[in-house]
Amino acid sequence: MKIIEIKNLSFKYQKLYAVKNLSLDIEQGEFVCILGHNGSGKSTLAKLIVGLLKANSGSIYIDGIELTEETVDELRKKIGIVFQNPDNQFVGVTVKDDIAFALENRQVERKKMVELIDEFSKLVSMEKFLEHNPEDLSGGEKQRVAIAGVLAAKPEVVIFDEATSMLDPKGVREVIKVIKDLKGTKTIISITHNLAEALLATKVIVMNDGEIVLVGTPEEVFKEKQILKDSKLDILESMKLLELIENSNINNKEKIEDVLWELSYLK
Amino acid sequence: MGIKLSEVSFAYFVPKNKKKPIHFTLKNINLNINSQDEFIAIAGHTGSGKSTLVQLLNALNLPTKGEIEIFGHIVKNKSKIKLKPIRKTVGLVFQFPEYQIFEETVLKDIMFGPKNFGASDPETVAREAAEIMGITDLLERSPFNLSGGQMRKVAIAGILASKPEVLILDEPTAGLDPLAKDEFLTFLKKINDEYHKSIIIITHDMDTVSKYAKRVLVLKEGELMYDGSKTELFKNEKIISECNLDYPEIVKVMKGLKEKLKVDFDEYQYTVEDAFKELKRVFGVAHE
Repeated sequence: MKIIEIKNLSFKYQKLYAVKNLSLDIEQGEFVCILGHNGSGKSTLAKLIVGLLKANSGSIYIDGIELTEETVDELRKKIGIVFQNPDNQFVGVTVKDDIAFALENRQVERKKMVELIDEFSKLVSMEKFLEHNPEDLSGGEKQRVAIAGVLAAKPEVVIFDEATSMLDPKGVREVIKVIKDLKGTKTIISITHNLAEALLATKVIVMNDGEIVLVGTPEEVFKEKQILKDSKLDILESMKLLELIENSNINNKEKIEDVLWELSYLK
Repeated sequence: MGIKLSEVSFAYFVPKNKKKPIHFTLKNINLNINSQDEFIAIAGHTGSGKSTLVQLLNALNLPTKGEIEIFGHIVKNKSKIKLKPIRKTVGLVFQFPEYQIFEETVLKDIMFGPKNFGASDPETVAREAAEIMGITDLLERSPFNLSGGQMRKVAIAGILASKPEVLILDEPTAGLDPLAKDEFLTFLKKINDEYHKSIIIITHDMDTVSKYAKRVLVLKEGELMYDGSKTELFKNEKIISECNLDYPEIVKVMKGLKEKLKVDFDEYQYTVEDAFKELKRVFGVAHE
């Protein structure tokens, strides 16, 4: 079942197209990763899907309903978004309050709320921090609380908009683990320029100049080294080494190639 | 000259009751930074004291204990110091400097620093700084319509225009895409190579460390755990795991190859080309 259908979508900032005649279908339960350099239009696309920006032309259907001014409030309940900056998304004084905020907005009754806070704080391994002030947490912990808040509202689709790009390596690992755990349970759209993150996805979409230039499994997409380069994306170091090996007469060539493929995928 | 820290400890809060313990963010740091040609990366976990340390280097923080000499100016706790010459000599670029841009045009924004430090011709130095950063075509534009990478260059040109001897940047490439990141670091390298400015960056990215830094400092819980070359650092498995650091991407790949292929070679290669050379050396190349 298609959870998101985008048809001929265009959006301009002044005269410049940020999204140009873009069409895309996302199936329920899919894990889609959108790759692109800064300014490729990937974050604009996310803002269009959640209705934070209004398209100049084209249409977006979420769960079969067209996104319009009349339906946007209803449809937003189906989509949660985790933003880049962990400091910009807190409202509560404690972690517990913060997760509760989304639930209050949806008028969940108190007893149910306590259960949900318990459930979702455990899901992101933050149950021991419920009474902490979000300000005192590390970047990775903050993002996990933000994810719990988003999930507590039970959205159909969760969008991660460069959710790891401001974190330290430990924070990145923590958040990626949570995203990995979510895989299969929710429709996930992850917007990133981190190729290692894209390896988790079931489908990778590469954007450049507001258009989709490449769609496929991670394996298919990473083979298109030239398109990735043209899209100003850096390829993984293991892939660069693989390219050198492929073009050489080195002994044990096939064995080395196999291991390099394997290494690229186990990350 | 340069910057010298002797037995420096720092606490954000010292309780009035002397019996209460002081929580030190930095503990007993000894460190020498040369006035020229340094390219230092400071690594360490979040909360290890990296940002606190760089803020001591231009007297934004004053040491709780110990003494810092900054280009001849002695900085101690409660000592009276002239801040302006220190701030002019040691330029500090905060994280996400693009949030600190406020003027109507790029040129005016870059001129703000030198004006403040009393430069006789702020416009000329601002134009020179823009030249170094490769943004002369942006000078008349509003800084708010630029891309993230461009805004960051504007913010750094603003610091460069005050002609500091040392340039410190707190996570200068956070949030930039890979190409913007490489381009940006190449600019820093140029300032280091051609203008001999000492550069200090805080980074979590070990690829940045291995590609650009000449010297690495590693902090853990306020203590300086390591001060030396990057090659020695990555071979020091104890420090890497204790301080929760990563290996550079290519070293990880080489470590993986070494383990899976069960062949002995030197996995500490820092470019893809060197890694390829090492593999060719070990496995040999078939001749046609």
